[in-house]
Amino acid sequence: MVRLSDEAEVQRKLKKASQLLLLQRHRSPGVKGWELKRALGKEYLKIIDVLRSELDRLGLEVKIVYDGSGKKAQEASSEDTDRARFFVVMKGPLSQSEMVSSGWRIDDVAVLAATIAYINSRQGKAPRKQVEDLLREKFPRWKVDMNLDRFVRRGYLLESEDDMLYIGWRTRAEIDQKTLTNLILATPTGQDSQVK
Amino acid sequence: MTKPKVTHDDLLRIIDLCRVVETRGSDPFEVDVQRYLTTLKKHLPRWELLDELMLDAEALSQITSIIRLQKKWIAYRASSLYVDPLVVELKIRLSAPEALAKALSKSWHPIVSLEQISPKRISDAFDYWNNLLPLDERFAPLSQGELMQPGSFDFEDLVRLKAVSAEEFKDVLNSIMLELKERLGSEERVEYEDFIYVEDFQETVLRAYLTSFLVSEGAVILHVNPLEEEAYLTLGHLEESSRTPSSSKVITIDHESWKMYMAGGKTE
Repeated sequence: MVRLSDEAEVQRKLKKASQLLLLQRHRSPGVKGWELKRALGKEYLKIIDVLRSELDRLGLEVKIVYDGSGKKAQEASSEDTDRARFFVVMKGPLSQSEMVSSGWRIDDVAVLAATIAYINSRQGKAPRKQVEDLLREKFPRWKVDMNLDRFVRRGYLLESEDDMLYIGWRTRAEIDQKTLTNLILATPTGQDSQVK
Repeated sequence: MTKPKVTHDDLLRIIDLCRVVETRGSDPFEVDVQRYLTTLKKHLPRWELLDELMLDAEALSQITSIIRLQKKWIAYRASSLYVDPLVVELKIRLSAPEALAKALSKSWHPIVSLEQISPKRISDAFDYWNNLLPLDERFAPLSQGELMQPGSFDFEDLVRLKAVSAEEFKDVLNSIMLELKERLGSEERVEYEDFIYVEDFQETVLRAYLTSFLVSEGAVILHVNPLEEEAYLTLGHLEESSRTPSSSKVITIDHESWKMYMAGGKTE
């Protein structure tokens, strides 16, 4: 049986966990596993599980992004989890109107979609030059350069010194890459409609 | 017998090609592994110098990296995530920007975060503002006198200036060492905070200062676990301390953390 004091302690830790996860304290959103461990104790993952069910009712969920290339929760050791980044994300996708009100221009979103799908289809990395060539077919050079730099700054993409672009931590946190690729493949193109 | 330069070039070409395939992420099956291994085998008996053998080993190592990439490539192609990159590229080229944006919006789950300022922070900022001198006063040149370069005092300087007495300091140092030994008599190690923090904040700072002396001298060892944010003390051996490389560890003590510890246990 759970004692009252234990319940109060869990409630206190739940509050602390939600504050840590939701309040942006660094330049990048989210909180590292070791920070949660420091604030909530060694059993912090159990508190996160309880919080997960609370947030579920609000249409939100806790997402964990591990360092390195797309490690899954089942494969992660406790050291990996300590180093991982924890976020709260929206459970459902954005509606068109929400997308517009969030301040993103539709062509900027299109640049991001094309870039992620292209890099993803090449096992998560592609030379920046190739991505730029692809995007410049539809967007002016300045827009492509500005957007790619912005996506790198915001963590959607990662750029190495040898001008290779990789999928960034933010894409792994926010974007369901498989769904995105499937939706792009299912998109009717101009030529498809002509055939019909 | 002079070796034809072309054989060296063969090795360099193999190394170069393998590196390009690995860094650019292109199809590893474009590398004709069988042919390159045969080339290496053919040239191997000719190598005499160490540099030549090193070059041969490097080429072999690069070819093994390509075989590893081929294995990964097959595994990826066999997985459910695999989609032909050319098909994706073609679709991207043919799709309208609106359709691409729509696809992303349907697979996008943005991070939720808040930016908020607390009443305490506002009050701190207000105090800061009130205490802040106007710019012209802050940057006004110092009135008179020669400007001294900032420097630091060590313990010997303080003794020389008669600010502290060497004997007195040694006594205090010995007493804290004795206290630590007593604590360590019953335990293997003592948590740094448990040892340093006492009822009076000034006394706490003094104990931290004295302990840092004992650690510098090697009489006490400070172990820090940065992940757990734990620090604890054990007894050291003065003879060993001169042999082991030294490193600096910073532990901050502020009034807030002391108050928190005194109020209810560990600091966060």
